[in-house]
Amino acid sequence: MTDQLSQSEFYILLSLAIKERHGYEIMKQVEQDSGGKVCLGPGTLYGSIKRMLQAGLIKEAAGDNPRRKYYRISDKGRKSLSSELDRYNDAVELAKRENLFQRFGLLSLML
Amino acid sequence: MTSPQSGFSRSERIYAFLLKFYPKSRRQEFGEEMQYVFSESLKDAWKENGRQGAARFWARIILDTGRSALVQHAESLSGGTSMKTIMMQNKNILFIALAVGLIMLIPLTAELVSEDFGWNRSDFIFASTFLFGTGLAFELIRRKSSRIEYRAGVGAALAGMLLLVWITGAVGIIGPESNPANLLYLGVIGVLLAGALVSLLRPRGMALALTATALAQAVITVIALIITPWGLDSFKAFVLNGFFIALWAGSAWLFWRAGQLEPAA
Repeated sequence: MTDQLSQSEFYILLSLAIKERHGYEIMKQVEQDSGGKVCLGPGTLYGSIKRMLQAGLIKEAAGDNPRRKYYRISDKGRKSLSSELDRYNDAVELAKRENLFQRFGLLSLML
Repeated sequence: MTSPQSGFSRSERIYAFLLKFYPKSRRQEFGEEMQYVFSESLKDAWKENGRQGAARFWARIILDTGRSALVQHAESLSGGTSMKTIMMQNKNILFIALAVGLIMLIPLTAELVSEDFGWNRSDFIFASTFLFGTGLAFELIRRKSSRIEYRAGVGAALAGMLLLVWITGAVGIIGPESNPANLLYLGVIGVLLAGALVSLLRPRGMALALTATALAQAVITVIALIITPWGLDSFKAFVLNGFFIALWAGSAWLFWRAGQLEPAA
């Protein structure tokens, strides 16, 4: 069983699932993917990057700009992200079956 | 009025200073990247909302720096262990602090409702430090072994020490608490601490240390019975000393059992 990802770790992995990026690109992508709900400051961003490097979820990569440090998702990171997405998917399926979106007035999410 | 360019330069200099709040190793690894992310984000904030956007961005940066610098220092001090793990590993210590806080509510309430209770500030500080110190010592020493016998032995020894100090300080064992003969019990605690130090908390060594502590308590019992006139005081000294001898001996037995069950080194 993999450890549950924190919110920032989840969005960082999500941003790296498509392509390798450097810190600033990750930050912008996270902001965009979360609809502006998750805004990572430089301290939180690189704190998470350090922990994720140590946990083997991401790896350093060679990128287009040699002056920047690029990161890519590792196999372990891909597995973690996929199990997290599975979890979210299961939760959404359950919510649909139990009509929770309607009950909580979240009909817009159904569309 | 300052130009955006000079404002950016000043902001970058301030952020370069704020980076000093992070652990040196993190600064060396990510400082340049963090500075770059800061500069680009500041430009974005300015482009989107001008001065107001920059002000909001700065508010976020200050919060981010304060929070993440603290977390990263904690992680660096614990050899790279994540903050979540640090909290998980030390949750018992947080519970101990909480329990001490709750226990201290009892004398605090008594002090508020009764004029006769008479605890002053130093009494509260001493009591809470002593209780927390004992709890902390138990938590740290118990991690040395997963054996229930060892942990129970540690618990009994620390509980004995706590009670001995408390009882001699509050009511006294030999006569009233003002009787200087009660200071003899410092010797009992000295024997226990010296034994723990020499044995490096190993079970067999601790069994010997606790046996020596029980013997020291027995010697003081004899002295107490000789110097206390026959009556209620000598009965109190006999019962309380007997209780402590039994506690030390019980703790010694638990350590001895833990030593027997431990695989030979």
